[in-house]
Amino acid sequence: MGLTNTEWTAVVLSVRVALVAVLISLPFGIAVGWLLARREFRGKWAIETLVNLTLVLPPVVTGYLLLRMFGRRTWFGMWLQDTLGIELSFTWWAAAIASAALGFPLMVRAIRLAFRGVDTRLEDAARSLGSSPFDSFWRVSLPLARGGIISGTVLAFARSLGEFGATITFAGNIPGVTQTLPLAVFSEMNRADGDGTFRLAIVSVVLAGVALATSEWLEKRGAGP
Amino acid sequence: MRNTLTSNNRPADSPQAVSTSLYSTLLRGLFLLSLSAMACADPNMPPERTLMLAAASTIDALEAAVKDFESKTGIGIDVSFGPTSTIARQIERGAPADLLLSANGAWADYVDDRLVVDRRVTLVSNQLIVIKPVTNQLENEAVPSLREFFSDPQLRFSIADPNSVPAGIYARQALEASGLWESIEPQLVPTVDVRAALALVSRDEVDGGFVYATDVARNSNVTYVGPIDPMLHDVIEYPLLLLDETEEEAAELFKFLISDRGRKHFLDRGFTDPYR
Repeated sequence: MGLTNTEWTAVVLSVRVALVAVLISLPFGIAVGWLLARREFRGKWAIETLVNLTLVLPPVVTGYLLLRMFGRRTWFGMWLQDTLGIELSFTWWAAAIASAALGFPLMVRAIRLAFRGVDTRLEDAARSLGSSPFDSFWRVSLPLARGGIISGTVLAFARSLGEFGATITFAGNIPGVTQTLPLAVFSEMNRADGDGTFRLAIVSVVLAGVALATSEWLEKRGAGP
Repeated sequence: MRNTLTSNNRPADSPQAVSTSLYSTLLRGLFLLSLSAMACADPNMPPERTLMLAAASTIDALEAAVKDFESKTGIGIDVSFGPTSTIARQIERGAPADLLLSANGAWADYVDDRLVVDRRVTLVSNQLIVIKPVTNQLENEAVPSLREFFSDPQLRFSIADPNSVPAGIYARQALEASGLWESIEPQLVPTVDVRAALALVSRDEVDGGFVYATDVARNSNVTYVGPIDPMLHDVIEYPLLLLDETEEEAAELFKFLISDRGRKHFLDRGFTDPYR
């Protein structure tokens, strides 16, 4: 099964975008997951709703909102342009941000569950033995939640591989720059000589399958002895 | 009922037993309901409405024409708009369309080669132009020449997918013929259809775009930069295809659209006569 250059580019770009998306989401995912697992407070429901928003919103709407918030004619977009010289929309970064936004709720879900499963008595023990809150988090809670964190990460990665609506709206369908695998399939499908569609579809299935299977396996491992 | 057990070994009158039997009754009821629904499928369903698939750039003109036709004849028509490439592929894959209004001859040929097409007439033509956003800044003093406009590497331009959508294909041909394609390609933002390209310019998300002259009517967010020389690309033509002339209502719509009254809706909006 040979892929053309454009097709390979799309695959490589997809993987790269997904990796970056997951890396940017991870610190926030851990923070929010921990917060939701460990703390009760007024307005918690609002945070939960906000986090899960991109899970239920049509992805095109998410992309449109991203465009409204970070597009070049918004104050944030213009600030980025003036101070950092960066334009977000229709770039590689936009694709990563769109994927991160879509994968975030999945990641938080898994991480929250993982932290729930960590015995707080172990953390209390660490604190009583003199470690700081941060230390106890970093050295006790985090490693114990490792399984769920990894599985949440892989799930968000897999989601990012399949992201279409938000990407095409916020990042555009620019071959070599933002044309990830799902966008490539879409473009290919609309061509008169679109016989690469099937090949690309197979690659998508394989990539998604591997990512999901890995996530399942990691989750089982994380379930412990 | 005393001392008997249900299938999951609970006493027959326990709360769990009651909810289990309620559940199974509901399930049984649902099953019977769906069976009867299938059995009741009416063989004399009302005939489907005529379906027309049309290029995105024709939306305003065609909707007006169809409205006129519906009020004149009382026949209801469903129209669906999209990029010509997508709708042609949909028809090829069996979409139950009765008419197709394509934005170029190539996609009309594509459908013609694969399906039975009873009648085909070129309805109208159009002109490709370059537009840019109207911005608050005083950039609107000197409208740059097209070559200057395209040569600034910082600028981005929206274009309907140049690999498949007619508006993009015409633009690509013109850019290739002018020797500008190689340099401008990295600056292009391909969109789903020509109206999406227009929307990006309208929202000032790109610096310019390739659209039809007819697309910019009533859009105050964009301004004209220059025309694309029609000699540089294939003749723009909008073939109208009738896929089954035995469908009376579809055939009537076809006749209406190619008549003077039907075409007027297009010509009034800037589409041009194809045989000039």
